[in-house]
Amino acid sequence: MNSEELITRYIYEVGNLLPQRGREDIQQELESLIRDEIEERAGYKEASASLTADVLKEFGRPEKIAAQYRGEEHLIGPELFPIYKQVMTIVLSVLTGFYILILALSYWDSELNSIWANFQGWAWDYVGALITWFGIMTLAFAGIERYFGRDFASQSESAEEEWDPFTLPAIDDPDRIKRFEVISGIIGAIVFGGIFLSVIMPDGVFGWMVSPEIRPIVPLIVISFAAQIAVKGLLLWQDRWTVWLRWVEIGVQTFGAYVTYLLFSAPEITTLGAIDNVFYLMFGISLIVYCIDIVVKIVKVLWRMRYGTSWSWKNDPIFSTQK
Amino acid sequence: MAQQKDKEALYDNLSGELRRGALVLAVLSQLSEEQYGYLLKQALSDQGLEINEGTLYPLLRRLEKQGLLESSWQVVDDKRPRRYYKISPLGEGMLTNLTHEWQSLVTMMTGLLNGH
Repeated sequence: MNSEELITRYIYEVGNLLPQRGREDIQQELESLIRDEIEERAGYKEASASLTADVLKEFGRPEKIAAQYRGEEHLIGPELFPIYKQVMTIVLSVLTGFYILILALSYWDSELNSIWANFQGWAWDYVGALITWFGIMTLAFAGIERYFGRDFASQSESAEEEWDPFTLPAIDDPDRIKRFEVISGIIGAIVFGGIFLSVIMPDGVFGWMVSPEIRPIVPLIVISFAAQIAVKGLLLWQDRWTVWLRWVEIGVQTFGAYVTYLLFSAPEITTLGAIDNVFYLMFGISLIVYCIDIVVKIVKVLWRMRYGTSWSWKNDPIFSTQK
Repeated sequence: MAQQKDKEALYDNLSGELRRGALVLAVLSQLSEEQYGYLLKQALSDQGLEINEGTLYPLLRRLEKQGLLESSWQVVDDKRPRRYYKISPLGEGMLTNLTHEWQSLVTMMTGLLNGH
């Protein structure tokens, strides 16, 4: 290979790594610069291949110099990336929960020798779904970055200027919320509730399993899911807990406990008979947990309203050991 | 031996960062007259600033994109075409500001390092 061939190949490789726009101009300039350097070193003699190779080495690998010409690139910028990570975590977590549920439910209707076959099919579906949703979310955010990236950057700058340290919430503020948790709760409830209801509907995958005794309760289950989502939505809107919001939450939970009670006291849950005991146990435990949680929440809210501080075991006049 | 190499690599990295910070100012300061890339590299090298081709030439493009430099293809003395760069009016204003900034920095660093 001679000097000319080396130069031609180098310029070609760099050009391949540059965007179409401006590529030819950069290639021409680069070639001119390389030849200047070679001429300087070779003097008036014809440049050898090894001299040319030395010069090209100083210019750097085609990938490296092309990256320098392209400048900073990113698919999803630093302002958007934290949101991307959060949303991706929520979506993939909900997807995983859904698939675990599908796997568990599929085993109720399986014979022992088909469990492994079920698992293999499930595993392929699960991995495929993960990859698909990862790709969809990444493309969506890349699109947002492409068309609205500058808006995020300028918003970030103006947010930096407007930020007031006095608005930082207290560390032990009991009314403080974590937006990420609330948003994940909403998405989880929507996805899980939607999937759950779709499979138990008469035409659903497990619709045939659901006892007619349960059907009248299904609308109440829907209302309960919707009410929980609404409370979380209100919480996001208010950006912190307030007394009235806490009472609303207690009301929604009480309704949820009532629906659970109806399920628990239904004469029949499924048409399969044998597994009803499992569901009764689940509903019973849920009911107990609901009741305890509701009582604790009522005590805390009343305490807060009366004393203006958070209730805890330490400052409770009855249970506290501190005098 | 490995430790020594790591030390040298770290020093090269940090000193490179220090130099890269001054690069834009150095380049702007040398382009009051038209120059093409290779001559500029030589001019900087003659002043003691060695700069890699893969860094300098893309930098010239970037500064032009930012409006600090102007460029044009020219054929001088019947040689092959070369791209000549010159500082723009915007670049001149930026050079003045950056020069003041640099001088403040030097004064501050001298004070800090003398204290050390």
